Amino acid sequence: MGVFKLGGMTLKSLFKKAPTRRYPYEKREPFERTRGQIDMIDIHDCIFCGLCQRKCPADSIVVDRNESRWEYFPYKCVACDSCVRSCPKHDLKMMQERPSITTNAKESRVYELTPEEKEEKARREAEKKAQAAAKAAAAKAAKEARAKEDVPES
Amino acid sequence: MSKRTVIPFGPQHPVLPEPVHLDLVLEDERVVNAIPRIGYVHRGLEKLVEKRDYTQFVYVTERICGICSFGHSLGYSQCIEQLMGIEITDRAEYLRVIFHELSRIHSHLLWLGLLADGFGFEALFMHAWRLREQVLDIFEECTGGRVIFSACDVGGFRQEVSNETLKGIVIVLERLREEYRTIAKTLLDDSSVKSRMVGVGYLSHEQAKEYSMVGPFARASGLEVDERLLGVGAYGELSSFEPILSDQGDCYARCDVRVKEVLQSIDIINELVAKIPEGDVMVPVKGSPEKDAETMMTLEQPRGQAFYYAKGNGSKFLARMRIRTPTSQNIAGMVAALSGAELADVPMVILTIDPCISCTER
Ligand code: SF4
Ligand code: SF4
Repeated sequence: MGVFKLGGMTLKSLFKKAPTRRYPYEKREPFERTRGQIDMIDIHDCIFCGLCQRKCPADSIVVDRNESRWEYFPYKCVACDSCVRSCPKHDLKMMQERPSITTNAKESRVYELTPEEKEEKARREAEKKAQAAAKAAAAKAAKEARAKEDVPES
Repeated sequence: MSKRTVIPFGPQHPVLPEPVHLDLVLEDERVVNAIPRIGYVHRGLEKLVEKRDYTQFVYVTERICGICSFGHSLGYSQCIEQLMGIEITDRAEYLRVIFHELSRIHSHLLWLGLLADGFGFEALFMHAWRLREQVLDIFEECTGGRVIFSACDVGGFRQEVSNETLKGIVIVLERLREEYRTIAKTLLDDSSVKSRMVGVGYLSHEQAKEYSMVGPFARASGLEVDERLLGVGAYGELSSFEPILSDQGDCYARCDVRVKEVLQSIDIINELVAKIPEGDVMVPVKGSPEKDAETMMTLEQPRGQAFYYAKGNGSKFLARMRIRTPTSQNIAGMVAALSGAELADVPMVILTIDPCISCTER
């Protein structure tokens, strides 16, 4: 009878530590590489390029460049790690904790700049643009001037 | 002649967690025909290539089946690499085969547990799954996922696994081998197991050949089919590889083949870990498959040969991705093995065939 042949092993298990755990009360330490969900490290470093959104196979990140807004849907995410790998600013991290049980699977986490920061950013961008435009205009003028100088000589 | 009755088997049935759906045509207690019905868990994954680009699709292929998830991502990645002419590093090839063989161990241990459970042999079921848990822990430690690893990607293997970790894996597997031998022997030597399985669900060598069967199911009927013989990837580096065959063709032979395959997989892993070269695991992938470029790839999954076909359309999206999984190839054989069986033996026959319905219906 098979039951008796397995007896040795079964007897041993009687005295060993149980291989199972009383799960919700007793949780196992996650491994270092365990993938649970992602999180934003610092929204101020994000350049809102949208690469993470484009790489995501589960459509669980929505980036709005104009609003400076980054939104993440943990219950859509399949924890594949491709957004973390693709971020040019290394601004995303993989966390070991899985999202907790919910009744609202559409729940999301939003990170966005405060209105002041947005203004500041817009101002800086406008400044940069103005500078770039001025530079371009100067370059154009210089080129034209050079072209004018060149004409009589030829 | 007695009257014929049709009894539905599944889609929900206690012996198999998967929705296998058969209509059994019975004459008294004997099955005269089994009509498979496919489509209960169809998810339209192949159609998704239109919406996900080729780097994202690897996550979709992984989700075809929970048990062969690594195999599917491996087959898909190899197929795309062949399509785009990417050559991956040797270390990545080795790691892929090591993890593929580990998932074969985990798949076969899962099957062994389910089979024991189907018998009512609860203790063996618990022990088999306890051993399987050790393999799942290896997966989680190395790749971060228990069932879906997201480890194999176009261009190589995503996570570097150090040589120390690999040696640790070998030690765990050696310990597992001893315990596994005990439980496998208990199952195979048991007189009640033998009396329920020997001669049941017989499929001859000729039939196996005629139905082009694949995997352990075919090998149990003495058909020498094993994609690992082709030596793709690191399989070519093995010093020797002999597929495990049996010529009995019944339920018992199928169990025997699968039980031995676990030990063979442990040997393969040991050999590859001893030989693994140093180097990078990932090569950068740029560009997209050319228009109308086509390619195909085959792979030995735990359940047999899987076939992958891909066609590029010049953009990041593939024109077509076709996957034929081992169980869809084995359905004809399953029907043949079932005809003539007693109704009470049907669960046993199905369990020893180990069909994967989610794979088949995709
Ligand atoms: S990829 Fe990085 S920088 Fe770009 S939007 Fe996403 S989080 Fe921000
Ligand atoms: S981990 Fe994967 S699924 Fe989750 S947000 Fe990042 S890319 Fe999307």
